[in-house]
Amino acid sequence: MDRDRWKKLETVFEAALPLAEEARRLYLEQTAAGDPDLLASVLGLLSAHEAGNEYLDRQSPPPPSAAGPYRIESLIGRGGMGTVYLASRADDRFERKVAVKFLAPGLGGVDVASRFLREHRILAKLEHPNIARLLDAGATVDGVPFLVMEYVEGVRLDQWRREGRPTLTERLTLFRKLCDAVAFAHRALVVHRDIKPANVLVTPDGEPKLVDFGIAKLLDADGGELTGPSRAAFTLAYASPEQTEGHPVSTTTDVYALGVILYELLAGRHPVDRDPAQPAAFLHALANGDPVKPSVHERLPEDLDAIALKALSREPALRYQSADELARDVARFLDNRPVSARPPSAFYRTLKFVQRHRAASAFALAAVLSLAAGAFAAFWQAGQARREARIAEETNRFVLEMLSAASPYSGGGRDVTVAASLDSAVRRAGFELKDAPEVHAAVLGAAGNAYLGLGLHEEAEKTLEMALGIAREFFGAGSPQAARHLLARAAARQGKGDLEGAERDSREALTAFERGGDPQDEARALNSLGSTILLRGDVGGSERAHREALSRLSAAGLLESVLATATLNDLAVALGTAGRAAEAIPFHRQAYETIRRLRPPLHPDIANGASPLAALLADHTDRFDEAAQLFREAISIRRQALGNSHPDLMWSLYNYAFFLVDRKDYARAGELVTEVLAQRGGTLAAVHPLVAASLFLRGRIALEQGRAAQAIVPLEEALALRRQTLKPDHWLIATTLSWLGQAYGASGRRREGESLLRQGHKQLAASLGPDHPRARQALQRLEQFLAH
Amino acid sequence: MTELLVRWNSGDPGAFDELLPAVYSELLNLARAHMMRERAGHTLSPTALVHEAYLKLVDHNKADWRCRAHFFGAASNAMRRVLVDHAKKKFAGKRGGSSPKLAMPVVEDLALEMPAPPEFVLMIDEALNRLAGWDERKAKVVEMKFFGGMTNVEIAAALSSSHATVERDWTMARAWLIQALGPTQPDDPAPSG
Repeated sequence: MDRDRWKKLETVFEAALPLAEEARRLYLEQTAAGDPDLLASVLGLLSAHEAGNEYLDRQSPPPPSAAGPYRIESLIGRGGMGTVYLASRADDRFERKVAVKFLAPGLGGVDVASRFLREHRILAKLEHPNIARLLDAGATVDGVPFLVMEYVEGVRLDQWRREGRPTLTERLTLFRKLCDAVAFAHRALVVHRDIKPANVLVTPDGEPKLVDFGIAKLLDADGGELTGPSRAAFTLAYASPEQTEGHPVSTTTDVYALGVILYELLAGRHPVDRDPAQPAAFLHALANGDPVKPSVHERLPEDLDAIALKALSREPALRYQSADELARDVARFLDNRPVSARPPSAFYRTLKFVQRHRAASAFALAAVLSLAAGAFAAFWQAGQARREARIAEETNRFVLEMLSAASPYSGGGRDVTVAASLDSAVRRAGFELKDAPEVHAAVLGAAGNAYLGLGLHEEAEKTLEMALGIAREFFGAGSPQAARHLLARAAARQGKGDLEGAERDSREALTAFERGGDPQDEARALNSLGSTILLRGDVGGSERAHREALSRLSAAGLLESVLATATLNDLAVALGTAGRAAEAIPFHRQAYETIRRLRPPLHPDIANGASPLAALLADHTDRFDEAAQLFREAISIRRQALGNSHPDLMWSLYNYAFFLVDRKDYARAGELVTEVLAQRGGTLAAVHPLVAASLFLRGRIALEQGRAAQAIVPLEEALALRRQTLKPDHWLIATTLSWLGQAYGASGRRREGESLLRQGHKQLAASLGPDHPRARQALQRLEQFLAH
Repeated sequence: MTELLVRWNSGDPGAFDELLPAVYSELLNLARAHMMRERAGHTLSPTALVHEAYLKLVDHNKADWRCRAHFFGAASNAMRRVLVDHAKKKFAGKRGGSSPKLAMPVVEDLALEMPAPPEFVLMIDEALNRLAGWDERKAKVVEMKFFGGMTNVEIAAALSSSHATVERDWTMARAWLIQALGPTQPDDPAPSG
């Protein structure tokens, strides 16, 4: 056809088309009178126009102009699941922007309606600041179903990362919120199953919003697996291996997708180094290769590698089991706490500890030091800082590392991992610090103290011996620097029972300090001497040593010092040991009141001062209210300063529970015991003495409340633990036997009961003496039993 | 991709030639990627595919609405090639077999819903080639509408013409096509080859 002919045809066709039948006929007769071909062509076109064609005519229906009360404004985007328009509520006094989503024509087939119903029902349950809310659902006048969702003004997550250049912390904080939102949905039994950057929008305020729960499905009510492999769509690049293999999906499927997102946020690229548009290669890589660490692409801490790779585990069981768990690990990383994704090693724990406290105030640092290994560490720090800042700083680094490795979290008994890390730290120090003997000696001194904290007295003595040797060579034999190691060795020797050696070391140190140290050094040496000779039975000598320490501190104007409070406590202990509780209490009280002035509120040292005073008041006076108040103060401080699971807090809880049992407040005591036992296997090793003691107390409470049958199990457990950890003739085993006997007796097992009651009493009498209160109480229980 | 669109927009005709292969392969890739959905009974219409290609390829911040329209114009052409290539394969495969009812077939190795049976796609393609011989613009309008799933407004923007013109073009071209294709009706058996 030539162009002119076509033009002519077009003109006539267009002119004829709008005309009614009669007018059209007249027009065509006039126009095409002499051109039958043209007439035929136009008539053909007109009839073709009327006839139509299914395929040509099904194209691109115009977007609906309205969806219920919502006025459609512009296209936001189209994807596999539907077409989304920006809309506003037409009949509202104030305009509200919403997103209206229609399913793309030709999509979905028969389950469109049910899919929409499902989406509606699910989304209505999800009210969360980081989830785009479902506002409405309905159908257009033509029957096209639509959803109305909160309109989120924001950029896609990947674009946000690329263009907003958020810092690592910003990225992780945002990611955490995302995890929280997913966890929230999971708690509502909703799995998203299509989490991807396109479904995460970041608002201008930096808030993430999870959109499009188009393929979310309800979890089974029992929280288990979903209803098998689904027909619903997912996005290959963010699909978990089990999704692509058609296996059942669960909440860990979303965890995997979150892992991909985290990986992309960290590394700026997809963990699978294949184009998802080449599905075969992509799936092969997904199924067979582990992703490389994100830190290969961008400088990142190892913890983040571990977190991302754990979330991306091919095996669902090896992933985080919930989005919550993933969120918590990210939070831990942000707080410089050990993350669960990293294999637990003492060195790693140490590292986190150091990082956590790097920026902390001097107060926190001192608290940490005194926490980890007692006042001795602070003494090191202070002593060195006065002389040379560099030594102090470098020593501090090592001290922190090693003391924290030997942290109280290791529980009772020998912690092999911690000890091994100390061993290697000592070796490392020998290697790295060869050219800095002054630091080397200080570090060995700190390691020795850490061994002391673990109760590894042999190792402590050996290590301190080395420190002493180096210090003597570097600073001189009688130098105060060397004397400090002598004092530490005294503690080690005291611990292993070499009281003679300990006394010798203490005296030698005292002499050295009197020549070239200061009053604080002298006081420490005197305290060491005093506590050693107390153990040797010289109560009077001990009292004199501690009083001397106190008077030297007083002369130097140092009564208001932490060291002075320690001295006061030592003196009180000596007096208490001598059976002079009434004299001891004022010293404990003075120590407690001093430390309260010296330390900021909530400092753990205040709890350390309150605890012995409370115990003494409870045991030797009738000032129960004051005792109870001190117990509670210690608990409150330790809870806030140390967290809810620290062993020190557990001790406070136990002591208070014991006190409450004596006060017959069994209900409250029972609660405290339960809280302690919740840490069993956690911060309290299974064989930690507190576990057995708390079980024992639980049994006693049950007995006191007349629930003898319920006393048996905890008492049996306590007995088993104590037999496992104590010498067979220990009085604690005997006491447990006696109480268990009572429980048996009270639940009808009289023969067993009598046997245990007799055995318990016999052993108590043998180990503590027949007149000891505990032995007498055991006898009383036996007699009561026999009397019934 | 965005750069090319901007260049094309500002009158660089070479840009279109560079644009086309990229869009073509992106469409194929997307359709293949959607295979994973297809296995679950989920296919994409050409329209959806073109939109996805756009969302994927073009930086929305730099591309204005004209860029968008031009992209869709190019994508329609690429889509036409994709569909025709696959209609050819499909058609070849069908010869000798029984002739099924021609509903909306799915191209087997792509999660792509054909806008029409392969025979019809091939006939339209052939007819459009002829139409382009004397009215390129109308052929283009049909291509954008039929293969690219574009709306008249979008086509008007892509062709820098008015909405009314596009409407008229479509009406005329549609009638001509229906006439040229003969009396093929949806339920007719396919022409046997």
